[in-house]
Amino acid sequence: MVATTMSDLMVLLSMTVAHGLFFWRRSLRFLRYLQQEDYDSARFGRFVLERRAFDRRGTAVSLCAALLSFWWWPAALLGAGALVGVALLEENPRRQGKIRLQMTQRARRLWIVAWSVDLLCWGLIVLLVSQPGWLWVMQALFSQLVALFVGVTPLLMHLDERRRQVQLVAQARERLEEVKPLIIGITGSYGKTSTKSLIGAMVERALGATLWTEKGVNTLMGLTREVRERLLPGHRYLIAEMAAYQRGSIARLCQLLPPYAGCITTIGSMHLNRFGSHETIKRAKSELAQGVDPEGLLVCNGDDVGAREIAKEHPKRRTLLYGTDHEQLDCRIRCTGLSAQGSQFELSWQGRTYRGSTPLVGDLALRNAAGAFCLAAELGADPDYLIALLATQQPVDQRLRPVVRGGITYLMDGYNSNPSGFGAGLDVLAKITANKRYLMTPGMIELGTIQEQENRRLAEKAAGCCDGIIFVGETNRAAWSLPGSDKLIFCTDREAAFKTLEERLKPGDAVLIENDLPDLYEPVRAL
Amino acid sequence: MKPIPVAVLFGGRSVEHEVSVLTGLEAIDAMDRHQYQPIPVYIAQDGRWYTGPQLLQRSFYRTLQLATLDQVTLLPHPGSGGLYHLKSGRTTPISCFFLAMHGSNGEDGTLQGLLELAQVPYTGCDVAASAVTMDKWLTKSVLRAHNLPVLPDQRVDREEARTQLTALVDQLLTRLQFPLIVKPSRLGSSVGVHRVETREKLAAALVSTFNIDRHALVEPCIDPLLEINVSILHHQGAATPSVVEIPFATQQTLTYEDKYLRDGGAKVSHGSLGMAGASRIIDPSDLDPAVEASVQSIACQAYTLLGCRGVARCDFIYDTAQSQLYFNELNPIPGSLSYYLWSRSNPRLLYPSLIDHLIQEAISRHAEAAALSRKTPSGLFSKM
Repeated sequence: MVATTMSDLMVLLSMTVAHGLFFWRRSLRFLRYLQQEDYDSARFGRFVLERRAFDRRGTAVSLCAALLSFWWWPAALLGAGALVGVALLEENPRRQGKIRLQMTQRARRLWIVAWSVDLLCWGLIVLLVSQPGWLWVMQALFSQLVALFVGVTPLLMHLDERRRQVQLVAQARERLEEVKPLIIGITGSYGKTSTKSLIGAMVERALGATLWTEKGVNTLMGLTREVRERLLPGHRYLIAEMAAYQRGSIARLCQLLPPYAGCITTIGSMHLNRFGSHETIKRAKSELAQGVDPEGLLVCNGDDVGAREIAKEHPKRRTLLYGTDHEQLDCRIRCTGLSAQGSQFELSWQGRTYRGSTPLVGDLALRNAAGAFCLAAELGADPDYLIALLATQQPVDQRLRPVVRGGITYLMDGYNSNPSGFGAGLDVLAKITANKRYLMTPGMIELGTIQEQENRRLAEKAAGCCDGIIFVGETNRAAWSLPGSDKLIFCTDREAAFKTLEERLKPGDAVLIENDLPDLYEPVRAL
Repeated sequence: MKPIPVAVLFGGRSVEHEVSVLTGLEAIDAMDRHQYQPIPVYIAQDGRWYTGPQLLQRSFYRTLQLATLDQVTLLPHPGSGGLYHLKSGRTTPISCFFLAMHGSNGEDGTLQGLLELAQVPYTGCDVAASAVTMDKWLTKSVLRAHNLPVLPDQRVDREEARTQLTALVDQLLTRLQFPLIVKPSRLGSSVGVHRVETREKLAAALVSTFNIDRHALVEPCIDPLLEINVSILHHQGAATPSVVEIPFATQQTLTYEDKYLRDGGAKVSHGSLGMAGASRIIDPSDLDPAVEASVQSIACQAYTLLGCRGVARCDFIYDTAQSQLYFNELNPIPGSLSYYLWSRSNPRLLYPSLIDHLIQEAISRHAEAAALSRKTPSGLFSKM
């Protein structure tokens, strides 16, 4: 459309401004979802299709403007105003949502490229299309294409990102070579962030300066950034949580961060949909055991069959098993008392029994504590000091953390999405003193073919120990629809669930808030 | 006369960060605007310094949008002229630095060291007095050497405890009996104070203390006790005491919550008033005058011995069963600068007058220090 008259120019300018603003605001929302999908274009594409994250508002405005513009040109200007209004109504993903958009340098690069590609394409369209009505038809199409422009950008920038990553990893290697910390790697299907926090606190406070973060930083680039930005001369230990997103993930992490010691928490069903089989998960996690220095230390959860097998298959100079149940354990912990304030325990280690208390609750948390204890003790920490430390060790936020407010005990377990953690949460809920017990949950995800079965099993367990179950969302609804149970209340979203909960809770009651799904599993708000 | 610019420093890299913000904002509110132009300088928890009018709004601290502020610093050489703005490169001239800092890197001599290097006037104690008074064990050691009454204690070092906690606990229990008080040696505002009655709790309290300080101080817990505080000011060339106060504790020892999170019994909360909002009796009429006189006398001696300046607060423990008074600690920059005590004391100073006194003292002390000769004996270079 070449502007020959003032009216043409006005239409062109107003539409371009509206188009740019709409793309700017909408693309940020999609960028948040893309970020939560680890910038994986295929997974993002699946999300868009499965969640039907298609535009409605922008398209409706554009089509209306198109129809009217064919016979009355000022309608194009009104349409531009309406599209600006739609853009301004967009939520700000940097301030809203459970997991907000982090405008990292990579995110910013992707966003700028996506926007540039969009503007380039729009420019071409403007040159080719000569009628405002048809231009609005194209805008309707572009409204649908925002997700596509955002989704394909990681593919367009793959080589550039790869080059940048190689440079950053090289800088991290240099820093590691300079500081030479003793590296401790932690992996497992679940429990690795909690165990890492325990190991971090114990090693730092009982042995010396340690680099670790309570956040779930567990990817190559996340750890590279931690090393580049936070590893300082004087750090004697570095604790790295190592996540497996596919076979080879942990091996790559071990190349950057060759561990002297390793801790394997569990080989479970988390991310079964990604790996396909339990055996593949085990192989992926065993890459840490393979990476540990043969003269080093391997600490595995002896109660977990997979972790025990890994310990047997990859022995090191010192290989230790910890846990609560199995017959042959090097470090055994047993809960001897439980309340909303924490647990009392007995811990057996090298022929001695230590008695102590801790704010941690649940067998899973105590097992993690035993793992952290034996790893730190084996590295030279005083066992008495470690037991005293456990008395001060608060649970990581949203990992079975008891909080008492207004006489109501809240067991905050928002980050748990695995059958063992969920089961442990229900066990604690059943054991603590309370008038009425409630559960609020959306169920568990990423369990592949066993997702429905595991959700049903825990639904039945919950029905046995809870007075009320507030179920959130649609994802696992079928599995939680227990026939004949009058304890279930279904809520569409988290806000409604909290409202329902508030109406029922009274002082003396206890509630387990189990799992909080990322935005990707929430209904996509109006687009 | 044009008001002189005074930079009010608050915040800082300390567990007492929030308390310091309250003290700073109170001081700014009370400053006489005809005489002084207060410039708020917020030291963030990462140690960066910021200024900007937003800092005067209490609501700003809920969200802390630091990007909206102007980052500044003080260059560590004489004649730098004031606050240097990192972005624009301009300098805001400052006539006096008013310290409303509490805890580490603010009240312990480190910040005072920077101000000394920059050779600028600042309120309160100098480097040595700040460093000694912030360390409870060092303070008590000095006072004990001068026969002032202090409780027996034992300092526990983190490095030592890491390797032999059980032996240290055994050793402690041969000297001191339960109940015991465990506290960090170099923090104030009752942060990290534990009362313990069992061996397990003692070990846990020590380990917990080592999260915030390298040294823990263990003392016997006096029960029943009366806490008595008094403020001291350098006035007309001598240490001068205020009236005393008896703070109320909700538990057996005064906690951080008692000091800062209760609103002085007010029925309607208007936000924390800092230390000024704690529940207390000021100038109690039923306190034995001999005890009050002893408190004031010992506090003045301690203030003078430790070389303090500005306004300080000395805290005492009175063992009501044994009628025995013990000096507990000296706060070189007390919460709310203890202004609430001076409005009933002799000399009677309302908060604006107290602030004026502190600034004027800082400026005259700076002038005296500047007059000291720093001339280097010449001739050495010529022989090189």
